[in-house]
Amino acid sequence: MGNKDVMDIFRNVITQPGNAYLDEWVASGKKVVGYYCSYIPEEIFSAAGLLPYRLRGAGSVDSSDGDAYMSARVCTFVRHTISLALRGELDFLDGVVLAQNCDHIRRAADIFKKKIKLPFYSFLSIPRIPKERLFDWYLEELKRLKAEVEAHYKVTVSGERLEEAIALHNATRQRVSSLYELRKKQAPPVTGEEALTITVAAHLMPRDTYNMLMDELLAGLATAGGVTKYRARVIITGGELDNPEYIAGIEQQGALSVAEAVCFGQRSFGGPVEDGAGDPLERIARHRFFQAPCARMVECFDEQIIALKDTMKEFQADGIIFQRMKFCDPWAGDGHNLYWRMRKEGIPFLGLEREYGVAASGQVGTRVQAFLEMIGK
Amino acid sequence: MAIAGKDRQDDWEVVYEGASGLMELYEADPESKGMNAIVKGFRNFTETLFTAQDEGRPIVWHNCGCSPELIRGIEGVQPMPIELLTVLQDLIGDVNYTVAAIDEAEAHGVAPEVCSIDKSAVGLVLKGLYPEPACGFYFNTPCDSQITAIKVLTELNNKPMRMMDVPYLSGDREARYLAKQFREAIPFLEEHTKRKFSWEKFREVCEESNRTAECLRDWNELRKHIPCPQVSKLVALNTALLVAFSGDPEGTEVAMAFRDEAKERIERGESAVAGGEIYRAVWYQDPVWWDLQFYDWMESELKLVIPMDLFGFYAAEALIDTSTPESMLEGLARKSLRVMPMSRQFKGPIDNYIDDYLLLCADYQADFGIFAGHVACKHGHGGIGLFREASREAGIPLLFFEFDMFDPRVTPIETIQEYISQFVEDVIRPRKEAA
Amino acid sequence: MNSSLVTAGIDIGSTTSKAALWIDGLLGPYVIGPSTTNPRATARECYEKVIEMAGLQATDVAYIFGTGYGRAKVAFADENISEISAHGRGARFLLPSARTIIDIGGQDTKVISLDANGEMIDFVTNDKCAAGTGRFLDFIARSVGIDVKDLAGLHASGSYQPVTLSSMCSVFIESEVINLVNDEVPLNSIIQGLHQAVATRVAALVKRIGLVQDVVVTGGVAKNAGLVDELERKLAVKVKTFPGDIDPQILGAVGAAIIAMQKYLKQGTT
Repeated sequence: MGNKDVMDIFRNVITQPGNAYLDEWVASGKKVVGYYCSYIPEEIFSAAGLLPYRLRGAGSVDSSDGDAYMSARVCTFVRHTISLALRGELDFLDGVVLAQNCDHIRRAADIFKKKIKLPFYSFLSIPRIPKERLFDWYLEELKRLKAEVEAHYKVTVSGERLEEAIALHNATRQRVSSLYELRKKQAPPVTGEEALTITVAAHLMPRDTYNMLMDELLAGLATAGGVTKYRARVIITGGELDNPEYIAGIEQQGALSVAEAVCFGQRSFGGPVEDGAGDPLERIARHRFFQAPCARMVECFDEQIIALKDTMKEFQADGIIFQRMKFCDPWAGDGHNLYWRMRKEGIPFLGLEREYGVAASGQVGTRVQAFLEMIGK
Repeated sequence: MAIAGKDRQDDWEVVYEGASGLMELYEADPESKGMNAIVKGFRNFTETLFTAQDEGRPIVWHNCGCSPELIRGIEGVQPMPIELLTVLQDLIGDVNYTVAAIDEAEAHGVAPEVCSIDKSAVGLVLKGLYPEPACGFYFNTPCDSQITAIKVLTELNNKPMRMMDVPYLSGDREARYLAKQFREAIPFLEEHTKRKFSWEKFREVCEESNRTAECLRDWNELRKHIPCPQVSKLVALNTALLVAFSGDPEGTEVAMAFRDEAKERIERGESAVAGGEIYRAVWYQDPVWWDLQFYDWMESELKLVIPMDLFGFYAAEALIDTSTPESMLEGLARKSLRVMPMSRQFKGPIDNYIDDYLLLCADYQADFGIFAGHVACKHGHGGIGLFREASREAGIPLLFFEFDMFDPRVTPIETIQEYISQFVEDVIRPRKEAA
Repeated sequence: MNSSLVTAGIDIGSTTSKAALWIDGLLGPYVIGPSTTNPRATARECYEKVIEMAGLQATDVAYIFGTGYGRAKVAFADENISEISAHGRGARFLLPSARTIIDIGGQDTKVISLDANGEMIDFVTNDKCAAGTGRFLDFIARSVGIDVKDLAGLHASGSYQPVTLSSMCSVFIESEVINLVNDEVPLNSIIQGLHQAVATRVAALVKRIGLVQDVVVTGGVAKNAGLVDELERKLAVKVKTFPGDIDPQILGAVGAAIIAMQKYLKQGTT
């Protein structure tokens, strides 16, 4: 299978809430559990024989069901995911594991619990400050999740099974890393739109299948030509982004995304969970808790800046394009802070606002084009 | 008008003058014990703050999710809630100053959908109106918007800060987790204030906090009386009291004034609405901070009284056990999780939010509920569907409208008046007449 | 004429379309007309009109740049450029001391900041909310039955006593304004208040980016002296005008034509 065939598969997998792989999984009697956030380790699901499915709103054309419960004054991403759930379009889910990522998701959790009422529901309290002093609590929460999964699904999430899950998910991380390595070239083999398609797909299908498809893809890309026609290389960062079409709108102006430092992009993966002698759950917990922080986290802005600057350097980016969902408070804070920091450091930075599922409009095109003109590219 | 002997920036002087003016007004009215006490309290707080600054004593910023007992455990340290000047400007100063601060923050790039209290805090910091802190001590409750403001302020003032992670639930395990964080925060506070925390001082502070709590608990009970003995507008100020004065004898004085006034008025057979109210409502979500006279209008024009609201509700859970350091820290943790208004209801699952509403409607015999939908309140709006359903199931008519609790420009007062009049006229009056 | 260097700028905005010729370093003929649902055709029409006005043929024009919302639809243009750059560079060329450019358009408002070298260093747009754009003024003018062109005159008439409009949102301001009219508040006070409200919004955008003098205002709304007056009050600066009284509404087209000239010369073709 060539890389183009794999891209077609990935494109198909991400357009609707469900896909053929999920259908097959469910048909074989296995269970799918939904989650929203990178701080909830997929390894726990995999070790329990469950398929982790990352919630998104693709395929939701209208958020009115979500709006009725949540009003029009909250995040459209959340409203669309809830709309899908309320309309029964996420019926392949057997359960959800949620956390207080943000106020919007917290209320979405209430709706999952009271209205959608899946057989399995678990809620984690994830600390806001990714520092050692709160690590124990995070680990305890994961242990509690593990116990709840074991009790409900009548499985044992043993140390061995966790190690297997770590290996499985590390294999994905390694492949995504390889993909990102290729993007450091002057002529990256994929656009940002394609890369996000690839990384989004990982969250919606069985990992072993995904890993095999990635192998085919990477083999093909090794010899494929690259993108040469672009005006500038940019890093895309900011809040949750799982619509490759949005990136396409940006790239149409000539701003090639060489890395997506967003959820569903690079942030979802990171480096591998360490090998070693330590307890696997603890190793997984450390991996997640101390990952590159997002806007939800506090007392770690400097780390975020360093991570962003390192990424810029590694990928030889000319600037940063930041996007935020309207109504998002956490990213409003970071957006403000990033703007002024980048300005102080002379790093070209463009801030955009968006609504979920809306393709990059003419307005975005103008701003991106002006941004490129401004940085002389 | 000088504050603590010196000229200060305009915004503060306007507030101070406003407070002084109001105090004169209320002193002339012996009935207004409660209002007078809190206005005096605000004026005193302003003086105390500037005195601390003048004396070079360390100031620790905190937010409204954080009641300041732990900070007060360090002698000579002055806690300052970042909402302080905004609340004072709206209540007793000139709301145009708040509007200017909001605009300043938005002009600086803070997204307009962030809560106006938080935009205003950022704006006031940008305008250099707050005395510099030695450090910040913050809680991650009641909401994301607060955290956003805190992150922006920290970036602007570049002072060390520590945030307490208040977890999702409010049980024993959570109390221990929070108590441990308090203990670990003591060295942080000592390092940056360069003063020593004292368990003896902390004990005094917690005992004081308990005395305030007892008064507020009694006051809450007294307000259940029909007719409602005391004005509606007082209830919202309970939260301001707790945020600014917890652990401070001034707080107890104000709480006592609230309680005593209610008690005395019941004894004298007096009520907020002369002759007794016709309608009773629980005001849920945020008060109209920029026009407290609006509550007076409801009482005189609509004969509608708000016996209790979310901000006034003092959930009478256990007092702080002052036997040992551990018990004090845990007691404070429990207060933070389960008692502080807004933190109690806003965090965690929506049941926290809905259950208190239903409880208040029942306990205070409300004819209806008012969900004053402050536009930037994401968790509030995010839960509106479930909230409405719960209200309907409980048979409580619910009025919902949108406005901004600190920015008068979003929904003008006349419009809010119309919403409430129409609802009372079209929905509540017929129900009462039919009953 | 044969040795003249003629370039053209076509600005297809959401409300109006403009075309301008730049002939030997000076502004040539220009047109302003309404935008239509067929931007391709509108672009062509404007262009043909402006060449005709100059007595030229299409072959006389060395280089064409499209700009504005519909710039991609200027099919015959050699290149296109964002209206942000067009306004920025155009303003700078016409007034070398310009550092802050405020473009109040029909549907959006932009503020562009240039550094000491005239290079664009930052920009900010307000394209989600009508309050602070030309549309806002149109809307209110229509609801009280006056022509947008008369706003400036009304602003200047009578005494200066602007009424403070409390609504932030144009959706609510209409009823507020109608109430004021019914209460017999003098129309000029209402208009002054309206201009003040728009100026406040625009000033907030300027503050966001930081005001550096000289300040110029472009876009159709810049022709409203009342609004410019309020803007000057809010920003506490005097707004500069372009030499030769160039119509600020055509700055996008003029900027594009100037950029076309610069590009053409850089390419070194004769």
